[in-house]
Order: sequence, then structure tokens, then C-alpha cells
Amino acid sequence: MNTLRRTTQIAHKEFLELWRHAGVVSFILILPVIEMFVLGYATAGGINDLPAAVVDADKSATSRRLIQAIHQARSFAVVALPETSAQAERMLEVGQINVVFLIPQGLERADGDAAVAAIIDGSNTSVASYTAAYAEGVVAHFSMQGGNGSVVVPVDAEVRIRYNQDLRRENFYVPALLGTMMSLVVLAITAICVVRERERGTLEQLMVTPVRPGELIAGKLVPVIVISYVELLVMLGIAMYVFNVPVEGSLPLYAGLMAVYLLAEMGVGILISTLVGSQSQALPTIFLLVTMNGTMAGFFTPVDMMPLPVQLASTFVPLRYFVDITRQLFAKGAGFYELAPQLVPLVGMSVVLFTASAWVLRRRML
Amino acid sequence: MRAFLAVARNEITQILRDRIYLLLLTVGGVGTLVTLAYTLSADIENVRTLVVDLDVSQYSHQFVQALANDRFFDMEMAAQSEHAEACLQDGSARMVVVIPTGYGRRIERGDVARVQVLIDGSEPGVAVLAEGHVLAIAGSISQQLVVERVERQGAVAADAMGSHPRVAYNERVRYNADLKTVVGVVPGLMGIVLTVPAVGASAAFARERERGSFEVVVSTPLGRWPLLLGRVFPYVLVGLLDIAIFLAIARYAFGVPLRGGLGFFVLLGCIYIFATASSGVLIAQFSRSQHGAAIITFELFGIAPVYLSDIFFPVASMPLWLKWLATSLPATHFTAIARGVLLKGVGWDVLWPNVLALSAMGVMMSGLAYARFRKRVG
Repeated sequence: MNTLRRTTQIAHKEFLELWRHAGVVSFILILPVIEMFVLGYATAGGINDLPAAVVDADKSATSRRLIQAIHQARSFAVVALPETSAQAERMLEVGQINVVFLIPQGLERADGDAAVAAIIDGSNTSVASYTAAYAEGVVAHFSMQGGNGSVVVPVDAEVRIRYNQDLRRENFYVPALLGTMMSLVVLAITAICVVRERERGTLEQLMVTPVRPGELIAGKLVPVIVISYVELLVMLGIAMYVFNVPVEGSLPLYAGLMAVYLLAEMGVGILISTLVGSQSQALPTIFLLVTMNGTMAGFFTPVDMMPLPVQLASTFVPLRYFVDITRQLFAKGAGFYELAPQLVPLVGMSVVLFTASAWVLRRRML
Repeated sequence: MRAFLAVARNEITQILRDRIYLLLLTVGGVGTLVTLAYTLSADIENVRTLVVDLDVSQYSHQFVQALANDRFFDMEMAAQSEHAEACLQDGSARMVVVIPTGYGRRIERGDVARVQVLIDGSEPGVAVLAEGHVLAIAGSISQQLVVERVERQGAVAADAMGSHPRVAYNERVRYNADLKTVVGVVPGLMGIVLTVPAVGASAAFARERERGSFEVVVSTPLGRWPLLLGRVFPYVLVGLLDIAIFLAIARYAFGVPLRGGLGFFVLLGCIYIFATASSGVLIAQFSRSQHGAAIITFELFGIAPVYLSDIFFPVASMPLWLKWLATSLPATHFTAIARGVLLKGVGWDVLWPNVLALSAMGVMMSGLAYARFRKRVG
């Protein structure tokens, strides 16, 4: 009973402390929201309206229909019709356009020999590979259904996309950002709670009180947990209602799994706080760590497509499992059993990290 | 000028004295970015694909073979389509191809033979490429079959093809012929690594205020301009060091070419650092604490560009207000510059709008910082 009382007292004190530093705390809580808005809108939908130019050497009805088809394809917007390919390449060089379509003379009359060429700006790789895939698709589509439509294509691939039919990029990035920003919040708030006490030397004062180390740690972490869940709620709300990211899985399950993740990340937060000297060192370290962790957790590219050393390193990053859990649960509605492969290492990590940090903290205190 | 040099020397001494700080400014920034570049350097290929061949004919073999020959796919055969769908659900496969029974027969009869393809769309970047590849395979097999048919049956079949123009397609990729991810990403990341000096400059001002040594500075006869520029200058030097290190790594570790002029690139790099560093100094004028200033600077010039400077997400596809925001970030212009000089080998004639924008930002930001900067305590 006393334990509970002392723990709540410490928690109360921590809340007061955080309230007093409302400036930093609110900054840490608002930042993820801003980032989510920027990222959400930056990635909303597919990659649309990539500027394209068409050099039409045929100037026939067919070539005009092809230009129409390119322009109407969601991914391209024909912004210029230069006369020569030299002019078009110049536009590519300046960066005004991402792709040039060259329609050869004799497109209308030719039977299979007329090759439409696409020249793609490869300097921006992520867009370039999209561009290449779309460009080929548009031309192939036009080729297949051209003429009078009476042609029978021998083989057709009937593609269905599962889990994210419109291939909306925000459905991929927003959940990852949500996970990554949770790690920022947990690490930063933990660091504020622990480092400040060390900076001021008030930890010694707490030691002479009847509060036991375990109670102290528990009391200190209550605000972190409360704040993290509030932040999660806000971020989830934005993801679901502003960006319409579907959450197919169970939200209570997600909240439960986050508790496991919180434990692991709080362990990391405590370890960082005991390693660095001051708060002005803790926060930049955390920012750097979150950036690295996010990337290694597969924010931009799937983990299994990274170089092998990075894949190995990422197995020690708790965020990797949490991002995976978030994406699977949101997009595919994965349940407890399907998430077990991510959950098992995460549980292991949270046990190890949390025990280690509690031990380190205790040793510092006693 | 003497005042300027004195302030610069003081700042350099400060940087050199704080070993950890110096390490953070050089190795920390560059190290982070090298790790990021390496992490992102893998190209998307070996996409795990399950193939269920229910037809088992010469034609279905042809399709399976085409998939197996495409390096983009990492193909495996499965017996049942139910099992294959479960693999899509648990993520052990990203694409499932089902060749239905009767596929071969339909081809022989001259009907459309459809192959069913299921793609996991939860990773849109991979999915869109997978779709492109599988459609291309279906297209090339179709073409092959038509040619064979025409050869076998002669003019009758050719007639049946109708008079419609079949359009072939070929593509050429400029500036990065093999579409290596790392070649496209590294120039963009350079803009981000070069914000490290800006964060340093911003922290330097805040540090002085925090330590109270600002009061000493106020009592000296130093003017405001030497105080501002003298403090920024060392960080431009740090930035130059960063550029040198990162260029070398980009070149020799990641194989990123340098097609334009080296001197030209360094000059534009300096203009970029000047723009970001003066913005950092301006932010420091508003911020009370050292880490507050550093974090805001880092956020504005280190994190926001990741989303907005055209490195990963094309600005062309963004809503208008984000396009404006992106254009107002120095990093967006530097991404264009770095890509232009390193990959395209272009010069002034192409990049002048970006250079102009960066210079204007630098002048404006340092002007504002000057206006805001007061030699006054309290």
C-alpha cells in the first residue's frame, strides 16, 4: 500500500516537473503532429502529374491519341510539346520535366516497327523507377487497345492489388511515421525526467527519502506512459481521419502491443540519459538516434531489401518491430498470432533493455 | 576586418577546444549520412514471388520461365493458391501469380488467356514496380505468341490482327543509366549533411547567452556585423570540410559521379551553407536556450528537407501549399544543385534560379538576423 502511495507521489511530482517545462515538452509533442501533416500531404495519393514532354514527329491522329493517353494517365501531365528532341532533352536537363516521349514518324502506318521511346531523368531514382514503370505501362496499354479494339491479346495479366488497392503512399509512410514519432516522444520525455534530476543532483536527495529505487523508476515512468498514449491517440486520430489511413486490425490490441514497445524504448531512454551528461547533449543524441532508427526500421525501404549488415544491425532496433507491427496491423489487419514473429523479439528486447536500465539507474543511485 | 577575424578566431578556438563538439560537427554528421546512404543503397529487386501453376503446359512453363529470368523477382513455386494467399497475408511473399487451368488451351484456341496476379499493396513502392514488371512480361509473351502465330498460319492470322498499329517501346535513362538508388539519393542527402554547420552556428549564439559571456561581448567595441559574420564564418569552413569528406565518400564508396566542375560545386555549397547558417543564427536570436535553437534549426533544415526537398518524394506531386513550402527551403534548391552538378554536369545557365534563390535567402536571413541582433543585455 505504501509502495503504491509513494509511487503515485513520485508520479505526481514528475507531472508537476514536466508542467514546469511546458515549453520543451509541448515542443516535443507538437513536432510529431507537424511532421505528420507535412509527410501526410507530401505523400498523399500516388505519384501523380509528373511533368512530361512529348515530341511528336508523326503528327497523325494516332499520335495525338497517344499524347492524350499519356496526359490522361494519372501519373503524367504533358506540360510541353517541343518540336525537336534536342529541345526536349534541354528541358530534361533543366529539370522542368521528368520524362520525354519521342513519337517516331510513321507511327500510324507502321505495323509493329514503330518504337515509342521514353527518355527518363534518372537523377532522382525513386521517381525514375516509378516513371519507367508507368511510362512503359501507358504505352503498352495504348498499344494493346489501339486500333479498332478487335485485337485479341494472347496473354493478359489480371493484376489485383491487396491491402492498399489504390497504392496510396500515405498508407505506407504515415504508419511508419507514427511509430517513429512515438519513439521520439518516449525517448525525449524519459530523458527529460531522468537527466534533469541528474543535472541538478537532486537524485541524491531522493535517495535519503524512504522511496525505494523500484518505486522511483515506476513513478518516473508513469508520466512517460500517460503522455505517450495521449500522443498516440492524437496521431492515430490524424492518421485515420485526416489522411484516411485504414486501420484494419484491432486498436485495443495495438494499444496493448505498444505497451511492450514502450517498455523497450523507455529502457533505451534511461540508458541514454545515464550515458550523456546533460540535457543539451541528450536531445540532439535522441534526434540523431531516431533518424537512424527510423531509416533502419524500414521507413523508406523494406528492411529485407537493405544491405545485409544493415539488416543485421536492425534486428537490435526495437523500433523496427514496432513499425512492422504498425504497418501489418493497419494494412493487413494482422492479429496477435500473425504478429508473433515481431512480438517475440520485441518482448525479449524490452525485458533485457528495461532490466539493464533499471540496474544501471539503481547502481547510480546506491 | 580585424574585428571579424578576431571573432572568427575566437569561435574556432571554441570549436577546437570542445573535442566532442568538433567530432559531432564532422564525423557525427558525415557518419550519420553515410550510414543512411548505405541503408538506402539497396535497389528493389528479389521481390519474393509465389507461382502457382495449375495448367502445367508448355505455355505456362514459358510464363514461369520469364518470371524466373527477371532479376526483379525471387520466384518460388507453390502447389495451392490458398497457401499462396496466406503467404501474402503473413508477408512471406509480396506477389502471387496463379496460372489457371486451361491457360494453354485458351492460347491455342486463340482466346485471351488470363494470368491472375495478386500484389501486396501495403508497400506501394515495391508494388508499383512489381506490377510494371509482370505486365511487361505478359506483353512480351503476347508479342512472341503473335509472331509465332503469324509465322505458322501466315497472312490469315496477320489479317486477324487488324490494321491497328502495334507500338513497340524502348526507354533510355539519363544521368543514372542503371537507376542505382544510391546515386540518386546521395546528392540529396548532401544538402542535409551540410545543415550540421547551421546547427552549430545556431547553438554557438545560444551558448553565449546561456553562459553569460554575452555580457562580456557587449562591453567590447565590436560592431554587430563582425560579431555575426565572424561567428558564422568558421562554420562555413566546417561545412567545406564536410563537403570534402562527403564528396570523397560519395565518389569512392558509392560510385556517385562528379560530372560538373568541382570548384563550381564548392562555391555553391558555400552559398548554401551561408543561407542555412544565417537562418540558424536568426533562429538563435529568438530562442532562449541552446538546445532549443539547435533543435529548431535541426528540424527545419535537417528533417523537413527529408520530406520536402525532392529526395524521396517528388515535389511535383505535392499540393500547392507544400510546393511553396518546399520552394522556400534552402535544401530543395541545393538538391537541384547537387543533382545538377554531380549527375547532370550542368552549370550556371541551368542552375542560376536555384543559386539566385539561395543567395537571396542568405542575404535576407543574415539581414534579419542583423536587424534582430542587439548588443544589449536583458
